[in-house]
Amino acid sequence: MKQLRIGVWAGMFFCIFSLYLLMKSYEFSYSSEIGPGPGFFPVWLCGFLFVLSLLYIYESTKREKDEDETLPDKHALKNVLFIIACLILFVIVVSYLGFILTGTLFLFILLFRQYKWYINMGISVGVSVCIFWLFSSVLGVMLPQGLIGF
Amino acid sequence: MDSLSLLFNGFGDALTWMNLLYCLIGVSVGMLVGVLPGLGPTAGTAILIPLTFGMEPVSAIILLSGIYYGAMYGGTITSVLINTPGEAASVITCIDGYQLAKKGRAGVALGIAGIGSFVGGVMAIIGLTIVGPPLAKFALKFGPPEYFAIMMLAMFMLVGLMGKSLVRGLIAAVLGLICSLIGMDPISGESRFTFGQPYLLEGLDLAIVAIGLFGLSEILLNLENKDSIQKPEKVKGIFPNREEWSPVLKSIFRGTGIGFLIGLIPGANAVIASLMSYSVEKKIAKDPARFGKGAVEGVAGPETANNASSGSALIPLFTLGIPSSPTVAILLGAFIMHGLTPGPALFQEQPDFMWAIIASMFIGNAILLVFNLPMIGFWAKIAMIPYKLLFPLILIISIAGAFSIRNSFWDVGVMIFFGVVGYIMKKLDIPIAAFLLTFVLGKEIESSLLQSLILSQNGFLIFFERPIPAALMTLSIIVFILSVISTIKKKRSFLASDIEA
Repeated sequence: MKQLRIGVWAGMFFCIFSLYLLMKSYEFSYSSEIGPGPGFFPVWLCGFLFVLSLLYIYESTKREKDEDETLPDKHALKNVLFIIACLILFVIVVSYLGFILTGTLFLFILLFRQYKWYINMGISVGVSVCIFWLFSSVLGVMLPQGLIGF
Repeated sequence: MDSLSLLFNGFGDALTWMNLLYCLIGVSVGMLVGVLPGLGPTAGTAILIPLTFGMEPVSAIILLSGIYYGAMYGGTITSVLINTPGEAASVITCIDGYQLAKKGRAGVALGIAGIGSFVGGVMAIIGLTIVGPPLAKFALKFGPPEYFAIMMLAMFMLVGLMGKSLVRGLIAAVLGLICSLIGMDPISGESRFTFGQPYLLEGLDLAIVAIGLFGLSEILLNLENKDSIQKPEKVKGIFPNREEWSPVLKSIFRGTGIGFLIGLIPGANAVIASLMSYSVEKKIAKDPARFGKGAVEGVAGPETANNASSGSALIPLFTLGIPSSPTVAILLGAFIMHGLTPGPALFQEQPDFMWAIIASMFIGNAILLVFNLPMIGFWAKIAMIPYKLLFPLILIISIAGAFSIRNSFWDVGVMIFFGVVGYIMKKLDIPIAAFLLTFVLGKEIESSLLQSLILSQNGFLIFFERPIPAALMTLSIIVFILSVISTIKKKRSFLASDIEA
């Protein structure tokens, strides 16, 4: 069995996505008494997306092998997922620990094993404090302080 | 009052020490963004938008536009010294620039690129000074059908010219439009695609989407490669030999013309200008064999063209409110954030503001020329900052910046989401530039379409009843048909990379 190309999967996703949004779009009125209503544009867009997704699937099955698939290898994918996980954790943790602590932790983890731990610690604390200070004093934006107050 | 005296007034405003400082900061950040391969001008500008919140609108736009044209200068340095373009418009400079550097002539390559950039940039702004006001006056008469037709042309140009696949370009454009629908409908006030989340009522913020799509996704992409930065070539002597001056100046002259014209076309951009200039230079050269082995014209032409085009791309922005590249789209967003809508009315209602910005660009280009040639060594060192140190810093600044726009971690979440979306789109070769441009224009496209249809007696035929929309729509259709033909004939490899500048 021939393996399905990544483009085919993406096309199917767009296909389902557009149908879902098309359904949602019909909830808005397609026309009003003076002309087209709030549903007019979304309906057409989702319709276009549906057609395009079919074309995309077709195109993906036709493409020659050499030009596609730059899928990340396992190691790279791990790196990418790791960063995304760190970012999401940052957003969750920051309201408890505050920006400076969370930022320090975040940088320390990302710079881990790249530098000696005390250099790493210095960079992490320094950068976090600097950004906090810059935003609060120069821009007047209070970054979250967390439960401990800094 | 004529343009010249207005321009002099503009210089008066731009030369206050505060605005000079902002101009200097802007162009320096632009250089930095251009030099650092992991950070493009779009993300750079977007990240700095929150920093301009408290500023006067004039100062904010002076700073942000400084980043925009400054990046064009910066991108060259890494192209020449380490064969890695700092931004997309300098890709072509790598070919001959790096060869020159290997021959020990890096200084010359950077010198002529600097001079060319300055000439191209300044000529484009002179063009803006001359063409801008009458064009804005003319555009004042435009109604919804005209605007809709211009935006359609811009969209089809961008989708038709860039990216490996027309279908995927169109998917990106439609997705951008769909994302722009999120929030309150400007005409009826109905909330659409908010999924009951009050947070989404205001719609998605442009800066946040851009930081995610262009900044975060680039970082994720770069993580896949092991970073191995080459040692930069040595820089000495910045002027070409005496016999090289004449061909160099001619290339600069041609580059200015090509860049300026390309920049005027909605949807075309600096990358196209530099590629076009390179192929023209190669075609008219007496011995094209020199190209690829360190031809000075191969650096002078494209580098001039990309600056000229990024300057003249401001003409459609300032006179019509139409951005032609993602970074210009961010600038448009910055205007709107400061309560100004770029377009013909702005030239009439706030001439002081417009002319101060234009004057600041003359100053900024001069700063870039004077400061940079002696400081090339310094910028080369900046380019050497290891990526493993750089990317965590960019990430944390992006987080803080995204948060500060509305004091909300929702926004940081949205940024992360669009970072992942951008990464996947890059993997699938779906051009994020087309997405961002239609996202920015989405509300405008929808309301001009609906208003036209309300005005119209015969539905869509209104776009063919008036001369200007009819011409533009016909042109859009021709562009579209040509790109369909080129897709079928599989001749789309020429401009196959996604763009940013």
